[in-house]
Amino acid sequence: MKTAHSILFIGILSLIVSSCTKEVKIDIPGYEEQLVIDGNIETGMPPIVLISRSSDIYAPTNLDAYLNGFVSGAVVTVSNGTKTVELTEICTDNLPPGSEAMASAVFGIPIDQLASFHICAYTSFDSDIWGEVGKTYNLTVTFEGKTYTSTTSILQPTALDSVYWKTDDNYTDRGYSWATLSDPLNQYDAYRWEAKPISDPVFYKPFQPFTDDQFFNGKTFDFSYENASNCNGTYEPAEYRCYYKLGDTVVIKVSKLPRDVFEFMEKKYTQIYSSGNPFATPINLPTNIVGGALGIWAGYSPWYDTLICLP
Amino acid sequence: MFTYKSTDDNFNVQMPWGNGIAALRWNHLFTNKLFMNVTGTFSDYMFAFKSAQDQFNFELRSGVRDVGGKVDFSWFPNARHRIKWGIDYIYHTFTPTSVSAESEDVVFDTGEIQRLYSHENAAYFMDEFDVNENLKINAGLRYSTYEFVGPFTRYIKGDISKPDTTINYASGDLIKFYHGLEPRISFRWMLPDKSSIKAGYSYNYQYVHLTSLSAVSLPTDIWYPTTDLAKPQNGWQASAGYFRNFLDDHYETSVEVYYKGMQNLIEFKEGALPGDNIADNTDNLLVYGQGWSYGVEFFIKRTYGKLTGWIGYTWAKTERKFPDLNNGKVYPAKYDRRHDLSVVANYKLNDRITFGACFIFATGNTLTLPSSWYVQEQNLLFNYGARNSTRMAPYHRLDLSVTIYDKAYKTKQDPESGDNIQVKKKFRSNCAISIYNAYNRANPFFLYVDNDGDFLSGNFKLSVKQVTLFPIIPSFTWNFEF
Repeated sequence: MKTAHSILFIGILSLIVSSCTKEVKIDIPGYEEQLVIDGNIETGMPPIVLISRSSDIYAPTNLDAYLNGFVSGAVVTVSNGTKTVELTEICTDNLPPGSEAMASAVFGIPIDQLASFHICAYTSFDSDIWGEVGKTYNLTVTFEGKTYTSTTSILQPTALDSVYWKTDDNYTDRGYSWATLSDPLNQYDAYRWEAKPISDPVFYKPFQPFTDDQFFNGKTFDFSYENASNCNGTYEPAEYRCYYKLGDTVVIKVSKLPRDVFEFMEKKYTQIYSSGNPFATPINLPTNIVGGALGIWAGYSPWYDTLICLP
Repeated sequence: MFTYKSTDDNFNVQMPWGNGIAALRWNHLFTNKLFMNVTGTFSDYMFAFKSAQDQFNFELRSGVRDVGGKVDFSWFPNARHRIKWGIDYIYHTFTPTSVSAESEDVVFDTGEIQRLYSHENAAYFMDEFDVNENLKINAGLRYSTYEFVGPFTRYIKGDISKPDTTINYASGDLIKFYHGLEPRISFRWMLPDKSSIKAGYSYNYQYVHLTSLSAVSLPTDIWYPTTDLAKPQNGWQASAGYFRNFLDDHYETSVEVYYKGMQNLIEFKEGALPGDNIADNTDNLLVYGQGWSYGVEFFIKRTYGKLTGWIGYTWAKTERKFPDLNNGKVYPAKYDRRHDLSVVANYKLNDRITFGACFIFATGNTLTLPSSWYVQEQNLLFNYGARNSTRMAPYHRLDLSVTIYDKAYKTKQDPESGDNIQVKKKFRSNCAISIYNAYNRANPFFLYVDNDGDFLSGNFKLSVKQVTLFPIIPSFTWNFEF
């Protein structure tokens, strides 16, 4: 009878377990090229609609792909219930005078480079179809024989009770913008916060610009936002970034938006902030476009205030 | 520890894990029909995931420490009954997700490590009863309780209008109590033609959940306890099988079907990230749903002759349904495995040489990857296919081996008769030459979407990368006995 046994492991020819990585093109079900409709309308402003195509996950993602993704030749109409207007296609290399700043903001291209690209958007110079509070706007896009529709509204804006500036605990001349909001009772409300230094042409969105009143319906409360215009870049020392400084003059824009627009935006920011994180769980954005397109048709009703950063 | 490093993508992963176990057992014989086992156990499981991409370093730790004891009695009152009963107790200490992160010189404040404490108790009784020589029944009942106790801080998330609120529980405070009855019954019915039918049913509560941190394929499953928010998982399972031997018992065959239903399963909500430990609890990120699994298993085994071995094949389907995931639609579970085949063969050439081969095939795991990208307000956005709609490539592998034994006997002269006799050796050895993954199959371990560069700068690149472990590994082993 064996009283003991032992195993001698005298050699493994390959002790080092090596891992390797390779780029693969596994089948990812679910892809079909879809139209992407990115439209918005806000009080006193024309409707602006950008139309592009989605790309396969394995498609090139270079600048050409981005630029070539925009669609030209669609028939886009907007109706406010009493009037229907076909939008005009305007392109970055042929912009109406005075629209350069807005086009720069819409396309994300510096003003001085706009003319070197050919990206088109759909808008209207007919002020009868510009945004008005309380109206509902129906969007219809016809392209390559398919029709896509959506509806959005410009809601009654909610004014901030007050805006003020307060120094941060660590500084005597730097601080965040603060505001007091009385949220209307017994109705759903969603908000977007934007702000800009008075001399800037475009508004900046903070890290989390969207919120709804799920947790503060009908309440009055104070809240703060950072200065999104100087959170990036190197022209401010790192310790001063995201603050307003004593003496700044800031234009604040608080917009109301419909629930479906908020739900799209909330999930969009969740996806953006989790992109590239291997722990993030996937999330798709709920569109309000009917007909099989991606994107959003968004109505905003802004309310403006001016903040002078003084104690 | 698993280590993966991609120099090209400045991406590396380390996954150390380990389990420390200790047990102390005392057996006592009251009579020759009544026994008692008293066991004390300790286990400490730790899993970590360390990831670094460019200058950003991220570390997640998860662990479970259990201290427990149980007392089991076995009583054989007569030849037809084998009765067992007992009680057991476990004190759990969970560290579900402890996260730390740093970027270059900056160490992010991710708060203190949160630990969760609970007591799990159970008492059971079961009887294995031979009704007659053909019918055997095993019936039992278990009653389990679970107490989620402090110290614990429950964070209730606020918003911009109000701060988070908290409820603090002191050490030992009872936060939530759960309990339930768990019946089980199974039988075996012998048929006259060397065959039998087996069937069973059981209903169980499970107070510890296993969930994956990610719907991509990273192997980051974590254990999470039942809390005041996360209800205990419960489910039932039924199975039935037909077993038959052929050709003088040289072949054993069986076919079995099963169905399992599960309630209160947990998953991380869409878009959830393993948060920091500041003012939040992991279960604030969970959603709850149900699942089911069913399948059929075929098995055949040859036990006679030079060539022995077995073939097992399982066809199965495992699905999940969560109101808050995948638009409420049914989707395949991460480990849904439609086909699972194992073939094991041994060929004994003679008393000294045996060849072995093992082939495994399994359907690849599911995962969710973006099927397309698009741009909205200058932001690059992804559109994902349905949850877990993508499958990794199938896993298959062939292992080969040859084992060479030295002679079991040696020849010796009998001092009395002077004849040569065979004497069994006191010292024996054998050597085995093995080849793991003989045809060097690059089986996927996990996949990730790699994005690099800045989209609006035009140098952005998106790709799906597959990480593979364990290429062909030849080995040589020398075993000896004395």
